[in-house]
Amino acid sequence: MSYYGSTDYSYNSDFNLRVRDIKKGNLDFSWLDNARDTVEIRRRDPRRGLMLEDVEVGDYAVENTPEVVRENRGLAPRGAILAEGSDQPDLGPSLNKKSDVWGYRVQRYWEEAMSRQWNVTTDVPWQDMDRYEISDDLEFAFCQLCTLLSEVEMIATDLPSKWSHHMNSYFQEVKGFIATQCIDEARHAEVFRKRALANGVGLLRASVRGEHALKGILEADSYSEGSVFLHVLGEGFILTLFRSSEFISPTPVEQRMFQLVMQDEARHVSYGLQHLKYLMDNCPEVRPQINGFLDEAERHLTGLFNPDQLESMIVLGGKGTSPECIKRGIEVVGAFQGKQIQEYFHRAERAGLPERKERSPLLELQQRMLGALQSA
Amino acid sequence: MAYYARDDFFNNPEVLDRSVDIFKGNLEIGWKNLDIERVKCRPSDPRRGLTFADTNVGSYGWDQIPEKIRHNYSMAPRGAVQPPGLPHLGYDINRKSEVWADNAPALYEESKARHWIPTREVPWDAVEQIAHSDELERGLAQLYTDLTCMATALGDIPSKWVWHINQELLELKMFQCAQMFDAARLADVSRKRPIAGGTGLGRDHAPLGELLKCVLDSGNFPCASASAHILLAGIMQTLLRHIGACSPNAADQTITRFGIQDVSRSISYGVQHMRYLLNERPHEAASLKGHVDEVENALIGYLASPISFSALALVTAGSREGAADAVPQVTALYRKFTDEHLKRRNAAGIESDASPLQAFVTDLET
Repeated sequence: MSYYGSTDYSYNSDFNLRVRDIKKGNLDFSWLDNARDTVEIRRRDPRRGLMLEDVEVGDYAVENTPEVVRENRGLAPRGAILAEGSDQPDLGPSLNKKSDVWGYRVQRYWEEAMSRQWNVTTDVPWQDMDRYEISDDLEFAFCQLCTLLSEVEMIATDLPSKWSHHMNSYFQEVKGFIATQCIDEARHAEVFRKRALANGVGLLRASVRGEHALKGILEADSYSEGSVFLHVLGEGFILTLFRSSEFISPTPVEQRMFQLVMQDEARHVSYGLQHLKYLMDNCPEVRPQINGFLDEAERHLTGLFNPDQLESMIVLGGKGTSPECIKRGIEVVGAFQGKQIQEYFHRAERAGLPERKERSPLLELQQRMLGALQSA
Repeated sequence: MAYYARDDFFNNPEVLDRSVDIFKGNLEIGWKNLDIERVKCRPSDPRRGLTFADTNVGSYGWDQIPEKIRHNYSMAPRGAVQPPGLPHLGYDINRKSEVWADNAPALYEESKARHWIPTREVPWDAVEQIAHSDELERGLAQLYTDLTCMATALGDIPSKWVWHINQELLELKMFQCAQMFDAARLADVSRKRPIAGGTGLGRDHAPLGELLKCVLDSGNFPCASASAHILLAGIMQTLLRHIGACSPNAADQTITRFGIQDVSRSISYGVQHMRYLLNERPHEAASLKGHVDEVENALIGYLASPISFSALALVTAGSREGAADAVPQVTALYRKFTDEHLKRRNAAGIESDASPLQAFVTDLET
């Protein structure tokens, strides 16, 4: 099962004539005779090189692209002269509405991602690990945390890649940004995996509840739903988790890891916010659909509060397993969990969904937990 | 919402009770008593850092991935303990040989180590002071337009397949992410270059679209891999080399030098993937050979198309007037590409007795 082109050139007389013409030096330069006018661009800041925004002129600018792209069904970049009508093979892009994928500032996120790539193999100071003593309790706890993080990070390559090849090639910046996200997230899975294997323990237990949340992300009905679950809700929570994990990291080696992954994660969350904002600004009729989706997505996400993660973070936060350490760890993790939820509501509000705070089940969950704790 | 978990964790009192219990200080710490393989992977060569090869040990390594993966359909990392109840994430590529190549982990490492930034590393000053003719610039712009489309296709192939691939094949999936990234970078620089050069992008044309559709619509991953990594990446490598050889502009030298090293990684993976696959499943060779022959048919449509051949002749000659005299040089370029391509097919185990490309170039030479 594959596509077979309309012409078998082995048995085509027109093609044979063309080859004969080529051999005689009869070349067709009509494309050169009908070339388009020249274009002038200006680098805004030559020290920064040639940015995507510098080439946003005339037909090449996304602002001159209609909301629905109808004329391009192939892989032509925005601004190329298209093959005429029926001559153009249909490569079947299914995300052809700008608001389906676009986010404010996506060009900047692409440039930032390109300039902030880092390398797990060489940028983490692995050689320093022997300089620090880590107790068995902390090492196991950190490996359990690494197992969860290595497990969840690859969803952020699978979900965007699932949709990227459906996007119209006129949205090259979004496709490009998604490619940067895929390599960023691959790197995150890599760093947590390598760390778990580097210090005498290994990978520990996967999370059943967490995996159900991942399945909910992967099986979202549309790119925008997948994006809001992944970028805004999921990665937003993980970003807060990274920040807390840097705080409770056992040594500067782990702190460095979290500093590196945080800058990537923040970019992904920002794109998600800007896409959601663009969608709300340009397609307000989808608001009920997105809200309905988030109602369920947030229920899924409660699965991420799994006992192994909570316990390992408490041990890391308190720096041990003695009752005093556990008490201190609970204070640290309790504060962090509240922060995760508050930061999510703040982001949702900035993206144009202030109603999340009123209708979200997360707040209820937090209140139930607090209530139960107080009564205990 | 398409997926509703069987268990509504939010309304499951056990979930809440357990969390409350933990916050009351009652930790089980069961994760410390799991039956796991303990390892301590450190850099074998400190100058190189901690590579994937250093972590290829025991149950964590890729050497122990079985040909048919039956034990894990979730995102649990390879080697982790899998508790009962992990969901199936829908992976339908679960046979190692369908996607694996032994050089994939090293190619992933190489991709990261050889990262480059078009925005800053290309000498754009040189594009602002182009010394060659407007015609030559338009010829180059046309080739860059074709390369933009090709790079987009080269990135869409892993995008289309990676999320189908079982998570056990982690390093391979990561390499595919690197391929998407490399391809996006090449598409970006290939689009910026003609716009910055002043003539703007050239034309999209039907024979190129037909070629890319043949590659993208390959029915399974091995066919997609053979046609994208051996054939499409091969012609991209040739076009980049030729631009680098013909253009007098320093920016083009930089773009093509970096671009060649990126697409060469895809070629290298493609050849090794075929070898690995056919070593396990030699009977698949026949269908792969037939598929690549079919994509070669689309390729010759592109190579002989009025736009691509005349653009190559113009760029080779440096002017429209001299283009007709450059036909033998373009033919020689096609011969070189064909010989390389057929050698790769041979090395991959998918050689052809009836290569349409070979027949086309032989016809062109006579």
